[in-house]
Amino acid sequence: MTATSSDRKLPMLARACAASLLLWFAGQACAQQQDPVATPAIKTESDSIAAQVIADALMLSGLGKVTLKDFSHDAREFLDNALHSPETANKANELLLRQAPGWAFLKDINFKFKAFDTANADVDTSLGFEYSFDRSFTRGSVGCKADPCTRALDFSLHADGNVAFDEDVNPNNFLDTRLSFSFFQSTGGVRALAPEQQKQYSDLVFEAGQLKRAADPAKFDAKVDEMLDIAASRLTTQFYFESAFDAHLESNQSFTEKQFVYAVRLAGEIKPWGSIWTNNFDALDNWSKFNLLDYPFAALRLLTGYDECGCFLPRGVSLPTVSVAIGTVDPQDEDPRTVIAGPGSYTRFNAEVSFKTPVAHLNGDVVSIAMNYRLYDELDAEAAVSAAGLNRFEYFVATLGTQNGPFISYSSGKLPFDAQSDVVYAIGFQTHLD
Amino acid sequence: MSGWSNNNRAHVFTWGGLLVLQQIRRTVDFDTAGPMAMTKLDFFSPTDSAQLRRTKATSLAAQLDNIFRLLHGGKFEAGFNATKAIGAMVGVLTTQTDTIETLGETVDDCYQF
Repeated sequence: MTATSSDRKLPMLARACAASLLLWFAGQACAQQQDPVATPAIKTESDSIAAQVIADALMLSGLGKVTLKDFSHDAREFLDNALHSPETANKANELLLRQAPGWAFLKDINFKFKAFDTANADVDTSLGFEYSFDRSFTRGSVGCKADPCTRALDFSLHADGNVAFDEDVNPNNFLDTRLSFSFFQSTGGVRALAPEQQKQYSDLVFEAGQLKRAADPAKFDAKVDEMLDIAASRLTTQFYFESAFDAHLESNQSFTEKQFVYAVRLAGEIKPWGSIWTNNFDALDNWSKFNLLDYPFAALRLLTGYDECGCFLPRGVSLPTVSVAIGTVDPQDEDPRTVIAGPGSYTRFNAEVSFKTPVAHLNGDVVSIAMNYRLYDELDAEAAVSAAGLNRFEYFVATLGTQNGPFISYSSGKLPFDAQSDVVYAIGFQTHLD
Repeated sequence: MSGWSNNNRAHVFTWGGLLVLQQIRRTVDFDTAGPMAMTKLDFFSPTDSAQLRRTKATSLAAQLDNIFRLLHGGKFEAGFNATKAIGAMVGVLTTQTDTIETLGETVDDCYQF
């Protein structure tokens, strides 16, 4: 992170950021009372805050004291749209994290503004945010007989969800907060180098780390090639597995509908690292060759020239990561299912599958497609519950974009507590501290 | 960025480990890598639940631990073992705004090279 502002400027920047966030909330409160784009004149409290933000920005840039009234109608309209976009809010959030220590808790929460747009023409775009939190409290080792192998016990807290400023239009109205006690095991992945080879490899990596690619691309690439020749020959397939007992609270964003869940979970992934630098289909390991899910995207990479070899290369390391769980759900008051089936717990199967793979390069960034599918299925559900469509929830989301820039996402289905099945398109901008 | 130094072997090996595992592109040099956020690493998927993201992060951290110990010959600092080192790396990998520099500092805390 690079500090570019002087100390004198920090409070004002922080104030501008805070004002942007306040404007965000104020704008939402005003949204149902007026059309901000159609009447961009200074009429509301949010506009006066916007004027203050702009004045602060202009003062910082040395342009002197200028008010919002000094801008043309088009300029005000542009600023109004910009100040109501998730990109602006994320930038403000980013600046707050950099400049104001009091907001540092947002860093661990992975807080991100986003806009939702649904296929329902009667529903306006919904602004809101998503969050995720993940912390481990204690870990304990469980011995392995031989390297490469790691086994451990873990106790941790997780939370994630989507919150809309107008809850009625939240297309993903589902918050999940859970405590987990888990065991994991990782085997394979690397074949050890002999001590003298370790020194040789370490020196090579250290030398490569001294080079700047912009200064001499050929020299840098040659050194990296040397480094990869050794490393790639020692990489093998890694098998990762974890099992856990989870106790979690699932709710909508206002907690008017909630349920406690106690479940046993299994998760794992296979990473055939040994083929990651292979540039020949025939030389791929079987895990890579039989990753049929990646075939369409391998063809797309072939078309976009993603791989230097210009060949068809399915990626074994893109094999899906899978998690399944079975547990008891204890619904609380006001839960729609309780109204139909009466009080009492029930058994539920839950699965999550994640897949991500690159498809192209764009301006030096990797464009990837990421997909996630989640299933919540009540086992032996009563007929009335099934008839009401409350026995099974499926949710699918796919995102296409770079890791730190514009993205397009599509989602369908619903999570528990979602008001209705819906197709949601989201267009946004991912911003992070870098 | 003051801490991200190519004279620090833990930092350089962190960059090298991520490059070898294609978490960053092979054209990303050491200086460029430092400020990159965890969301730019290949393992990170914006569509995953926090739970599944943690599963992926733990798997990646275990493989990085393999590379540090078995390819570089790294030893654990006093008070650390594989479990604690992996836990420390997972803490960084699952914080979206943390950077590769942060990961390098964590690796420096956990391993001797």
